[in-house]
This record gives sequence, C-alpha cells and structure tokens, in this order.
Amino acid sequence: MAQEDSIGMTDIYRFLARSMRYPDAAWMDDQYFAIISNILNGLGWDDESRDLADFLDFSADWLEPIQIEYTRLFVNAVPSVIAPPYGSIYLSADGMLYGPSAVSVKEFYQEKGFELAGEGDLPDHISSELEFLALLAEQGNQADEDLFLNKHFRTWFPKFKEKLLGEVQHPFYRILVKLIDFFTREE
Amino acid sequence: MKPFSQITRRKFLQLSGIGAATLASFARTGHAAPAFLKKQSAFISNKVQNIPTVCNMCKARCLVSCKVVNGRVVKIDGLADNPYNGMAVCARGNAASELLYDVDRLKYPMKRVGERGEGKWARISWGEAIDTISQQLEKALRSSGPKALALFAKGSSSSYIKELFAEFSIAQVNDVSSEQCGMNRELAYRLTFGNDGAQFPLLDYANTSCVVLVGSHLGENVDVAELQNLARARGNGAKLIVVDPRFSSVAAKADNHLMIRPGTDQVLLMGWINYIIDAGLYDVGYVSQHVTGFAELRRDASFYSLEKAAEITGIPAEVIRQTATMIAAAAPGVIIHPGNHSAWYGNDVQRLRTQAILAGLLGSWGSRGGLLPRTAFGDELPPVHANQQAIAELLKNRDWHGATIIKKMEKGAVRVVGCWGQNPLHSIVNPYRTRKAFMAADFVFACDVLPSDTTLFADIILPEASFLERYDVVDRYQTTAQNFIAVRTPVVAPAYEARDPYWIVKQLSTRLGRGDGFRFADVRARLDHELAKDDLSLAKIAAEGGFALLPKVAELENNVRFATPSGKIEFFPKSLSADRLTLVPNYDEVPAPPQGFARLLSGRSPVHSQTLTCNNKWLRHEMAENELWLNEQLAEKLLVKAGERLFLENQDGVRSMKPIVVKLTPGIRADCVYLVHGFGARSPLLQQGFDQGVGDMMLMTRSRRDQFSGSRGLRVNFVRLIKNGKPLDMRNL
Repeated sequence: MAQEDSIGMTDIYRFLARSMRYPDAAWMDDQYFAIISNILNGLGWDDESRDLADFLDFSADWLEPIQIEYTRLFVNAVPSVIAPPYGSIYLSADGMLYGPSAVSVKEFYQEKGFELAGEGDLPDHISSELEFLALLAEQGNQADEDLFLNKHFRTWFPKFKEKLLGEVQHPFYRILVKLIDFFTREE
Repeated sequence: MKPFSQITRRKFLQLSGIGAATLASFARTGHAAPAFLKKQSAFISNKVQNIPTVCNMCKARCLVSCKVVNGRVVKIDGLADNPYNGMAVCARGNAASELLYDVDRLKYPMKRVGERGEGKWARISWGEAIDTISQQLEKALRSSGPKALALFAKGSSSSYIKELFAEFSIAQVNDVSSEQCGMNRELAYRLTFGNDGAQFPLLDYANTSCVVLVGSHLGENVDVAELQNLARARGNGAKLIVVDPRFSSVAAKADNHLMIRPGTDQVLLMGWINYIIDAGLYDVGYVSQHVTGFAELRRDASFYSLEKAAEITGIPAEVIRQTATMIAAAAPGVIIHPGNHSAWYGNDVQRLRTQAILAGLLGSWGSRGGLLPRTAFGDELPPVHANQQAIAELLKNRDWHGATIIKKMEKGAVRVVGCWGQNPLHSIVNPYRTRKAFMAADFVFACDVLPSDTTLFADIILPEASFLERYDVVDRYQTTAQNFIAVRTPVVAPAYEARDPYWIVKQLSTRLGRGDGFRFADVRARLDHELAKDDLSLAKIAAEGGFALLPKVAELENNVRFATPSGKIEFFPKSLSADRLTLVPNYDEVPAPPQGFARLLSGRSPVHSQTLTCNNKWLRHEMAENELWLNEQLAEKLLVKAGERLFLENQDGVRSMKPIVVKLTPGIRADCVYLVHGFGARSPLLQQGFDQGVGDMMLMTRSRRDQFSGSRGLRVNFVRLIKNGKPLDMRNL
C-alpha cells in the first residue's frame, strides 16, 4: 500500500485505535481535531464537519464532556453502560467478556507473532483490534488484514455501532464510530 | 451536493494532500506505550497452567487450583492433597471466573461529575485519584483530627487500608463481619473461658459424639471444609441437634430439629442446663476442678424447668428433656457450635454466654470431641490482663459500630468516609438513614471490584483487582489435624487498570507520609517479609504446591488454661461490675411480633455470598432471586398460593421495592417468615443483580441494641403481606 504522499491504512487504523482510547489532553489536541476535520472534509461529510466545528467552538471546556461520554458509553454508567468496547460482549450468547471469540482473537495475534503488551489487556478491545489491523497493514499483508476484518472485527463491530448510535449523546463518538465503520467496511 | 458522498475507502486513500503528513506524524509518534509486542516466533500459546490460590468467594478461604489456558481462567477446582477442603469447592468457587470476566466490573479510577448518587462519572488517572483522596484525608485530619474520618471495610483485601487508618488513630473503622458475627461471641467466650475464648475454637468433628447447632444453618451457609467434617462426624454416628424456627437443610439431616420460637434460644439453653444439673448429668469432676459460679448457675437456672422452658420456647418439655439427655450422654465430646452471625435479637451476648456455659458444664471445652481452644501464647500482656482489657474494650468502645458512625455522619462530625469491599447500605440497619448520611458527607471514596450500591455515593471510585488477580495477606490455617500457611496469589494479571490493595494503599501512604508497613516496594516484598518469620517465602510456598505445612503448636486436647481473673471457667464473672451484667445470664425477653405481623428472618444461600455474588451469571442461573418462606397453614387461611408474588410491608410502613415470590412450606413457624439476604441490589450498574428479589435490609428500619456489646440485633423487624395494594389480615391467626 502506498505510503509516500497518500494516506495509508496503517496510519488510519492507528489513528482510529488511538481515538478509541480514553480521551486525554496529551493527544486530543488541536492537531488531532485538525486531522479529523481534514478526513471529514476529504470524505465530504458536511454534517459531521459541522458537528465537529460546533462542539469545538461552543465549548470552552470541550475535553471533559468527551471524557464523561466515553465513561458513560464504554466504562460504567447509570442505568447501564451503553456499548462495552469488547467483541466478546456481542458474540457470546450470554454477552460475556473474554468469551471464545476473544480467545480466538488472541490466538490470531499469536499466530502472526504478536502478543498484547499489557498483560491484563483483554484481546478484543476495539482499540487493540484496530491497532493490530495497523500492524497487518504495515506488513502489507492485505490477505491477513481482510481475514481479520471478516473473521473478527466486522463480526461484532456493526452490533457495537448500532448500540452506540442508538444512545450516543456527544457528536464526537457518533462521528468516530462512523469513521471506523467507513474504514473497516468491505468495498 | 456532496462531491464525495459516495467516496470509497480506496478512493479516499488515493487522494493526497489532505493532511497525510499530519496524520502520519500523529499516528507514528508514540502517544502511549505500544499495544503489541513482536514475538520471536509465531505460535498459539497452548500453555495450560494450574495455579494454586486461596478462594475469596466467601470467608472460608478454601484452597483452589485455577486452570489457566493461554492467559484465560477456564476452571476452578479444589487444590489436590490439601488438608483443608481437599478437591472440593463450592458453586461459588466454581463461578469465580464469572467475577473475573464480569462486564460490570469497576475497570478504571473514576471521579464523580454529577450529583452524588446520580452515577455520572469521568474516568481519571490513578495519580489524580490518589491525589484527590489523600488531599481529602489530609484536609480532614488537619482541620478536625481523626474523629472526622471513618472507614467501612470488610474482607482480607481491606487489611492494608485498615492498617493505614490505624496509623492515623482513626477509631471509626467498621467491619461488619466483626460487628454482626465475631464480636458478640468473642465477648461471651472471653467472659467465660478467658483469653483463649478470644478466637473461634477448633471444633473437633473427628472425635465428636454430638453436634448442637443453635440457629446455625450450616449447609446453606456453606463452608466446604466444615461441611465435610460434619458429614464425616454423622457418618461416624455423631448425633445432630438443630435449633431453628425453620426446617433448614441441616435440620433435615438432624436427629432432632427443635422448631423454636424466635428469640427464645437462651431459654432452651437454660432449660437444658437446669435439667442436666438436676438430673446430675453434668461433668462433676470437670466442673469442680475448672469452674467458678456453679452454685449461682444452679440457683438461677432452676427458674427454667422443662415446663417453663417449653412454655416460652414452644418446644415440648419431653423433647427438651430428651435432647438434654442426648447431649449429656455424649459429653464431653459435644460440639455446642459457637455460631457465626450473631446479631439477632439484641440479647445475643447473654445467649452466647449461656452456650459457653453449657459447653463448660459438659466439660467439652478443651476435651476430645468438643471445643478445642486455639492457643494464643505469645501475647505481649499477661493473658489475664489482655483478656480483661479486651473485655473492657468490647463493652465500652462503640466508635467502630456501623450505627454509631452513621449517626456521626448525620451530625456532620464524621465528614470523610471510605468504603473498602463493604456495602453499608446492605449491612447496616435502616438503609434510608445510611443513604442520607452518605449524601451528607463531605467526601466519600470507595474501592471495590464491582459497583455495589454504596459505590454509587462515592466521589472517587477505585477499581480493585479481583481475588484471582492479586496477592492479599498471609493466610494461616489451624485445624485439629494440621496447621499450614497459604497465600492468595494472582493467577492472571489484573485486567484494565485494576490494582492490588497493597499497591493502592502504598500510594496513599506515600502521599500522606505515614505507614511503615508500606516501606516494601510491592506486596510480594511485604509478604516475603512476613513469611520469613516461618522460614518461608512466596517462592517456597509456590514450590510446595500452594501451601506450606507447619508444625502443630501444641497438643490441643486437655491443654486448657483459663486466663480469667479466677483462673477458672467463669459462669459468674465477679470481676465485672454487677450493674452492667447479670452475672448468670438472665433471659432478656424479646418482644413478640405486633398483631398482624410476622417476624422477618433472613439467612444465607449455598450459591450466594451476601451481596457479593448477586451479579454473578452462573450463580444467578442457580438462584436468580430470593423467595419468601411462608408457613403453609397460615397461607391457606390467608388464601395465598405458592408462587404468588406479594409485597412486604414492615412495622414502620416501609414496603419492599417489588413483590417477592412466596414459597409455601410446613418448614417454618407461622410467627415468622424467611428470605435469603443479599438480593435487591439498588445499583443499576450491576446489570445482573439490580432489582432482583427483595433486600431484607430494606425492610429493617429497627434494631435492638445488645446492652453489653452494643451490636444491633436485626431480627426485631416484622412484616405483613400486601396483596393488590392491601395488607392481608394476619390478626388472630
């Protein structure tokens, strides 16, 4: 995949993986939003561009609302967390964490010679899966990339997306989940 | 019109100049540690490990072995060849992996951003969480001193925070298991047997001829090792007498089940004592050698003739006589079980003293087949002084009682509160008051594995590693057969940002500049330091397969020493001022249910541990909600059918949040109803357990204070049944 002057999927996946980590001023800064804005403009997603500009303009303290929304959507919330970002939740019959699908994701990583760095990380966190896709893209391994997308990521992501879009309150995550969808969808 | 509205991914990628360089530089600079490590060779790890650890699904501390495949816990069994629970493990132990992989777990430190109790949080870093808590602790300590702080803390993982709070001389540290279980027994047995009465005695099931359970529903309250011992004792022909207003599972195995009127257990005990003395069935030699106060006991017990005891307890005189004879015939090899949960009716110390006295009368304290005191040599004080000091403390000190702390929170005297593994909303009488008290606090922090009801009121929440992911403390075991040491050991790394309790408290200790016990770099170093006293280490225990045998301290049988002022077993402890304690325990009558109400009793289920397991999917599969035991004859008169759902309303007009399923049975007296504790969670963060069944504590707005220990007896609440919005007429039934 061309990496010189056009955008490569490696960087896109990595960008999306980072975006699904907890929002932190260390990386979620002007530059970050400039990138999102560029991508949205490039895609011609005018509504989303406007939403993005709106919440950045109107809110002096724009970070905390995103953090609160992240916590509500993905960590803990009353009455209940909206969309836990773990594949197994959507793929096991009883919605469990670290179910058989997570085990097979972990085995996929290992088969390709990778291991999660954090010992306690669950293999199928959305950010880990996106990061792994970046590694596959970096190796130029289109077949593996497609295999991982079809066999793992896309088996649960649409359900996750649907749950999230149904209840998301902050435009940032609505935009983000649409971007992830766009860049992982089969053409 | 959107020029690129139908753009494809590929097409988008081919477009250059839309921030490619910025994106690349953003994506390629390390904003965080890399998520993946490259391995030397590609392989699927099929590594299967069997890692021993100490179960923490209840407080029994069974030794278990966790099968871990490729980093995931797949099965939990008893640890082979261990001298405690052997290969056996209960349903809760089996289901511990569901706690580990519970989606509702607390995963990251969080701070409250909405109103207290609203449940609106933002995730924060550990640094911010620790800074905030230590600033709040320090502020309160500086402005008002230790009296302005309190802690509710339960379980072995809370030992480190208790240690730190002790360094600051914070007296308001409540442990519900001491308050509702251990304290009354400790006071009663210390008064009777001296310093060796401090610890729960070893029960010599292997050699016993008779086991007496007063109110204990062992089997529903599961302790695997003890249940195995009891089953073996029954196999060896030991008699079993169970005293309980309800036909519990252990009552079903008994030679005699005495369906006693609630609250009158002490009268039954006095009836037994009186008969045993009258008929000359007590251990004359033992009593003359080891006991003081026998004459006074004889005098006061004479009030409780068989007929009198029968009248009060509702148990036929002949049954009292027969069981007294059965018990005496087995002496001294009799286990009068000291019991666990004891905060019943507010006359609990006296009841437990009577139990202890009965054991003394039968000569079973320190005798083969009876109650074997754990020797507590190595006290810093001479044991008699240590005992008297401990008794004085138990009689006077109320600072650590749950209700006292709540009262101080209401008054604004206690303003900064921590909760560590304890859920005061379900463990302290009148949760409505508890809730208000928490709302009034300046600052509340909570550390737990799951978001309990109480965590909802916290300003900062800390995610604790589950017991399968952490080291705790050194666990010492003493059994009649073998002494040994084990240590809870992580079988997998902590998930998310959960941390072990030592690490968490060490951070606080560092910020606050106190806590010598936290000078060790990590919990492993601290535990190794402690284990060195026994010439052990974590590595040695692991090498020995998860536990290390210790030499027996001493011969247990006939090793009696009575570190009381008289040097004897005191039926009549003269050292105490008479105005405080009726010297021979007199029965403090428990008020009967008001007309139209039944007494509310609660207890345990073999598949749940209080409120701790309400969110566990596997255990919910076994028991999803509790049911109300209701006497079937009473139900017939009330036209209540099995399986019906009825609301409960207590004496103060408080109604259950939802109706409860009725179970009709001849196995409960008509003057009481029963349900299992631990249900009715109000934290919606517990997606499984929320609003399932009825919480008994929600119906407990009253308590009766024990005049000696100050503990709050909870079985003084009464309910009536509500059908179609109207109370069923239970008067004159």
